[in-house]
Amino acid sequence: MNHGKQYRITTGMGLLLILCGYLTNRFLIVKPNRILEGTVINMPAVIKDKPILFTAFFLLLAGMIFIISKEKIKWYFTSAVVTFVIILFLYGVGLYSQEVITDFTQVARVSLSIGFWFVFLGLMIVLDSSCHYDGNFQVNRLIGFLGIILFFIFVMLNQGYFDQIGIIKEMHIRNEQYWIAVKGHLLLSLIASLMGLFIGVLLSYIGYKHKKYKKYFILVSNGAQVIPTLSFLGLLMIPLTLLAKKYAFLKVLGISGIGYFPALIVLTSYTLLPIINQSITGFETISRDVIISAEAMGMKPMEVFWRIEFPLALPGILSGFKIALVQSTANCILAGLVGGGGLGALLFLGLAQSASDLVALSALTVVMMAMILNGILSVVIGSMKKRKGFI
Amino acid sequence: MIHFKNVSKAYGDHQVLKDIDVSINKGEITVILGPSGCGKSTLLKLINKTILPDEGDIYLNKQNIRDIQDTTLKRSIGYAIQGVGLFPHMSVKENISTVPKLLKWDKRTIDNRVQALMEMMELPETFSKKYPIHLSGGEAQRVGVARALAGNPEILLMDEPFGALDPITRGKLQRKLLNIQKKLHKTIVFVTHDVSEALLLADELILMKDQSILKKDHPYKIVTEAKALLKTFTGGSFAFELLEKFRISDIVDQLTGLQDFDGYCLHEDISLKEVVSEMILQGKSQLTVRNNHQYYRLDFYSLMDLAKRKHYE
Repeated sequence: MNHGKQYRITTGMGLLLILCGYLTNRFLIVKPNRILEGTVINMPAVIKDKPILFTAFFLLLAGMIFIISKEKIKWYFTSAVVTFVIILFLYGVGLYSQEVITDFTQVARVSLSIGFWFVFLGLMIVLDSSCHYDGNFQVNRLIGFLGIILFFIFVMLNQGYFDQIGIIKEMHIRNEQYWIAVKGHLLLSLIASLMGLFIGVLLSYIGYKHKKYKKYFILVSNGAQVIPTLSFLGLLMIPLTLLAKKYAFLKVLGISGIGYFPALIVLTSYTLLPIINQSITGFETISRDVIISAEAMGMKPMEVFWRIEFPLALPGILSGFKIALVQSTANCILAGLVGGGGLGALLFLGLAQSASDLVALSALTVVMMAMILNGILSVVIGSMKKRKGFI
Repeated sequence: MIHFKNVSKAYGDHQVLKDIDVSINKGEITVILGPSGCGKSTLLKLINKTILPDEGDIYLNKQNIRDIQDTTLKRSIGYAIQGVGLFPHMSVKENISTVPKLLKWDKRTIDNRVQALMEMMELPETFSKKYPIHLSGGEAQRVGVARALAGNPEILLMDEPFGALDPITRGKLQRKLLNIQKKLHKTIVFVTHDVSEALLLADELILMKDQSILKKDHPYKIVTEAKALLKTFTGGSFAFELLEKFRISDIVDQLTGLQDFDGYCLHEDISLKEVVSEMILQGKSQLTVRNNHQYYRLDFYSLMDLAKRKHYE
């Protein structure tokens, strides 16, 4: 299939999602407080309230459909239009929410509902596929436009446009708690991935040098992946508690059946598979001649590793690390269940209180964190490959 | 310079070298010629202790290499292989300066050395920042040779370095190697299975077969005296390869000049092999050649004699 056509189809699917969001009954919910059922509002009602804004919104959408039906127009232009549409959409929803909440009590809020997320997701899909044209994924273009969108979201957030939106309200109410959770989440995922990186590269190198160990390391990393996350946490609880009881110094270090430690072990174990897989591939693709030359030039084994093998395997190692980090960011939610902190704690709190806004806030933050980390590492790996003449 | 004494090597049950006893002279190109699997590469790898012998000893300047530290020995011997093995994550300059860096030379010395080597190998200066992936096979091999020479080693080991190149590039690089050797006088041990390459490059030729050395001698002697032996390696056209080594300009000093000449003549840049080809084409046993505006007569029957004298010079 021709690439242009393929991305035209994904664009179409995005537009379809937007249509679904438009037709769904639940676009926004105006709630008197976080628990009570509120009044459901659909998108047409919002549009009726802000006609000028949303007329512009639809005109632009229509314009875009026209653009993608033409072969010759640059898709760069499409990306710009979608970006503008997304900002306009968020601005409209923010403006509406500000006006619909009349009593400025702390508790009344506008919750974003399924319709909103449909439209938002649809717009994101359209933006993404507009960066794919001609079969090349223009990462820099996508990152650039996402940056513009984030910038405007930040400005509007600062100006208080979103203050009446449920998830933002939750963020404001729990300001301190939220940022501690974000920090904890990031730290836990990062430490687990770094530990996985260290252990994984070490095992990969041993496996690469001594083929007989390779299958055991792969077996272990695969095995860790097979155990469901939750049961893994449960399995660790008893032995760790017993250990902490027996040796007092472990308790001083904060090691026990609950808390950050079991979460760290579980997360680290999960990072091993991607890191070991990618690193071993990275090491094994190094040409035999290169190693022979390095050794014949009188490099000691450590020099061969640091000067030749490690730098050559680095792109592979880093792409394993990227997968591990993104995966850890998602898995780290479960740390909340065992008192490991992070955004999982907030998410499960929200679930327990059936406060959907809090759940949405935590989940959304995790998604964004994963996307940003993925983006950063992709750019780093890409530039490294380009600089070193790998492509 | 390099002396093998009763050296044997086996991989498990598989004998690769049997009782090797040979010396390699200083400042000469010694070519080891033999079919695949005859143990010639193993012989080469024994010199820099990439492989250790099961029995026997190898002496370098009368010193047993078992007494020299691995890395010290390897850093003092240049090594170039067929696959080149350039480090893909390093630029041409970084590749060439690998051994000097290991030897902890200072930066200025390294820079000058790299520049001199690149000039010698006729690599343009713009290449220094290029990565190996952007080089052609011939360019990569030239960088490989420059890298092997970078530490200014006395000995240069070359394991079929030009084997993967097209014939034209290979010919150029062989000439290049001979030119460099005229200036540097390194002790070069060159492994190949290509008879013409061996005869072209060798000051001293070692014939190997079935894990042992059949003969070691001057290539001219091997060609003229051990013809039958050489025929087991290839066909019978090796006299041409011997003539290929010399150009008219190399042998004019042995010719008597003509007073004046007006007509068809050959250029001084032509090899003796091409002279023979020209004679066959024209059906003449005598041709006139020109060197530095001087004319000489070259006779078919004297060709081999001229080459012989040149060989023994």
